[in-house]
Amino acid sequence: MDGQSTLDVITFFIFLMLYAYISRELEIWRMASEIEAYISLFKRARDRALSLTLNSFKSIIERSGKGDIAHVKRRVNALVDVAIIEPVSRDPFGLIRKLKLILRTAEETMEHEVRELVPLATDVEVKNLLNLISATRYLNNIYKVVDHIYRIARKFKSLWLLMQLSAYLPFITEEVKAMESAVDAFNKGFPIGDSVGPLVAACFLERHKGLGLVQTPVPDTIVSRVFFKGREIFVVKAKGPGGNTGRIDDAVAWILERYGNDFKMIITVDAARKFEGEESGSISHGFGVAMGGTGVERFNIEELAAKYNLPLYAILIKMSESEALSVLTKNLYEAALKALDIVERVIVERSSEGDKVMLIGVGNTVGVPP
Amino acid sequence: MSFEGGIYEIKKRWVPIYFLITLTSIVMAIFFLLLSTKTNNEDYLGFSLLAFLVSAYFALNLARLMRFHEPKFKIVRLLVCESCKLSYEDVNIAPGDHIFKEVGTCPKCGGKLKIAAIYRVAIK
Repeated sequence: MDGQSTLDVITFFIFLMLYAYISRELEIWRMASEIEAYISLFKRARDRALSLTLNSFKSIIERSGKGDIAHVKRRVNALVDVAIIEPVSRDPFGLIRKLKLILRTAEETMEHEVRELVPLATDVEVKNLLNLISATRYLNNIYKVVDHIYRIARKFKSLWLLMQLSAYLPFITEEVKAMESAVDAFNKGFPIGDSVGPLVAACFLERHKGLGLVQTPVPDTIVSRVFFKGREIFVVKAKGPGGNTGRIDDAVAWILERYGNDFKMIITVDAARKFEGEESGSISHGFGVAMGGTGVERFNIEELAAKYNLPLYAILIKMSESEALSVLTKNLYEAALKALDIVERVIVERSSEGDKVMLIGVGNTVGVPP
Repeated sequence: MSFEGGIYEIKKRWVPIYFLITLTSIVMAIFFLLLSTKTNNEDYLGFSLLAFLVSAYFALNLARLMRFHEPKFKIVRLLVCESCKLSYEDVNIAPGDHIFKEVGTCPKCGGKLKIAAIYRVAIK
């Protein structure tokens, strides 16, 4: 090998290393600029939600003439930053009880704060304001977490962290899109995709003349007793039309305590997340309690059902995460009507005359009374 | 502006760059093609093919960007008459409207008109 060849080989390797370095830097730059763009969109979504929430407060204050806008702005900013700390799970005994206490405390305190800020707001307005604050808090958390990971990745020039963040971006973006749509719906008080459960329950009540027989035995939750083909049906749903999910487990416990535990079955109707490729609005049957969220209420209903040996049937209306939080689509409304027919068929097929059945419409009842 | 609109706004910034690269690579491809026919040098033909491939790649990306349309919806309320069951969609929806709310009288029989549903429909 002469001197020229050695020089060629060295030059080749230097170019190869330079190419690898530049390629890596370019990849980091491309990924970082893409993530930065998404972070700016997340920030825009958060800011828009915050401004909509503040505008809702302002419009109520202007209408009622009572309240201090500057004070409201400070308090709303603080409420958006509120943290809910989950209980320690190393010793899981009594975990659900502790979680329920924390969530109830958070709910009640937030509601109290909102009522103090806008004392003349109606119940429906207070519930919708609470939902707006929750949605804004959620968007704020997403923005902060994504921004934090991005900054750490840039600080340490970690391609792997950037790659992981980039891989998760489609899922995070879906959540942000869904929550942004929810902000619009809560602001106007229109039903969302997740309202299909309460919508089925409400339509059942309307069809069987039960709208006037409503009781509110526990806060934010209604119970109505109607008769359908010789069966006694207890319909449970969150109290509308303000946006809230109610205290379904407490209402179930109240019914079992007051009317006895000899129920033939409990039917839950809820929105369920569809897989990509599944048709939106398709209905599937299941066994168990159809209920999302923290799992507290589902656990308590399962406990009660197991205690009294009550069969649990579920009817699920499939939709995407974005549809679940956006204003209801026509397709989902039609699916709710189909689900109502299915509920009636299930009641007729799986119970006899004189039986007692519980029908629970699970989900956020925004825009859906009673 | 919706989230999709925001994503489109970010991507739209690349449109002039994509357009410029597409145009330049097409010009280069034609130039090398003409050069190869005049000089009978096959190397130029290879360069021309490469430039065509680059232009095709960027043209495809450009087309994909231009095809984007932000999905638009309108929110309607389905009104149903309690007496004659006349039902029709109405766009005069106001914040605070909810299902089962009475919104006036039926234009056909004068019965109570109620909101049976509130939903969004895509604008084509």
